Amino acid sequence: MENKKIMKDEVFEKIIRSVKEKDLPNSYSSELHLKLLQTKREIQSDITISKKIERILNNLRHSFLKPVGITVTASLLFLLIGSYFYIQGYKKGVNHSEIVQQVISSSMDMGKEGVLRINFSSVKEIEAVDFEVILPEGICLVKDSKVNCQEKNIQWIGSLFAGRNIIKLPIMATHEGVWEIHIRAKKGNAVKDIKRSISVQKA
Amino acid sequence: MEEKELISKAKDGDVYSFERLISQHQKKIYNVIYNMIGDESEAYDISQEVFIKAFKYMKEFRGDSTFFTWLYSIARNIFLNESKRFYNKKRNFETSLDNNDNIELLKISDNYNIDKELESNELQKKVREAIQQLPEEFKLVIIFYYLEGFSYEDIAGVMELSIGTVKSRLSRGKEHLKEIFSNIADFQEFDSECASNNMII
Repeated sequence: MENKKIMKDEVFEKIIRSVKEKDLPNSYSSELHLKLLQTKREIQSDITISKKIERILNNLRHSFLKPVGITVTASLLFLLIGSYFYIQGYKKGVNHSEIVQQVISSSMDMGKEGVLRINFSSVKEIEAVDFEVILPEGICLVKDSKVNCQEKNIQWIGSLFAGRNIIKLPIMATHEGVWEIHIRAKKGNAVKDIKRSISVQKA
Repeated sequence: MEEKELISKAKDGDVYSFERLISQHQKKIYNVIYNMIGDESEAYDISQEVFIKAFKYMKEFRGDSTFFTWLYSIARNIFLNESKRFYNKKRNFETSLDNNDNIELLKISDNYNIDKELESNELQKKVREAIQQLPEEFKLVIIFYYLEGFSYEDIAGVMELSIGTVKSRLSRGKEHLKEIFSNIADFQEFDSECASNNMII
């Protein structure tokens, strides 16, 4: 019995340790690099907005000392904060849709085939969503293993599940440059627009 | 450049320094997620989310723990949230199965060669599927220890557990996994094959 137990542990370890690490997909580092650059830009823009608001609030705080300006200041403050949150909400699309977007940038080599991966996070299951993808000049759709540069506007109706949804579209980069792909998901009055920039470089 | 200097530059928003800091963790974090959920596409997205979040919150890294521990703590939270979301979504797609119904039985042939068999992708896939069936409390600990080669101390730091708890979870997780393995393959037969190949110490 004792022998058997030792053997079982050994077999177990041999099996589990046999699992080999998977290599990172080819585009992993370049896509992450672009995402990090985009995040950096977002952080910098957030800091600039925060600083501007801080400066305005400081000015308003001083004017609080003047009794005459109290009413005006309070109204301005209310409008300012309201506008700020409206703009932030508008930017994130929360006022218009329950579908949350994820904007991703990536790069491709010219003449190489790739897969456009679009992430949608939805808070609930949504049926009959109108999807539309508009491809730019430098990117073509790959359909049935053939490059199709005529079809630039791809439309279909599908469902979104609660949580993450990934839509994959095979594409090929045909011209050098930075191109923007427009993706739209529409359900009734709720519209979510996504722009995805793809940098195409010579292979 | 030393880690300290890279951290300082990454805190100032230097992408290049941040990329150097995470270079040795990219593959590991991608693999941890892949082993947890078994979906390459999800592992790709979720692991990138980990690094983006870490970059965003670099300023909050105070150096109380090592960068490694801090990074994996962020990763752990994302792993757990995302894997829950992934399984919920998966449940919507798939009909419910008994615990082991979605795994084929491993057949042990007469001329069974364990080393050759272990190299096959098919068996590795089955091992991963078995790990994915583990209860959440054991899954990450097992992956960190057996697949990624983390020490007890590293796991304790990342999981915010005591070393004793890590050891206990590893031991219980291992027993659980053995049970799953034995439901996949006939381990008694497997054992006897190994015994005949002089695998007993």
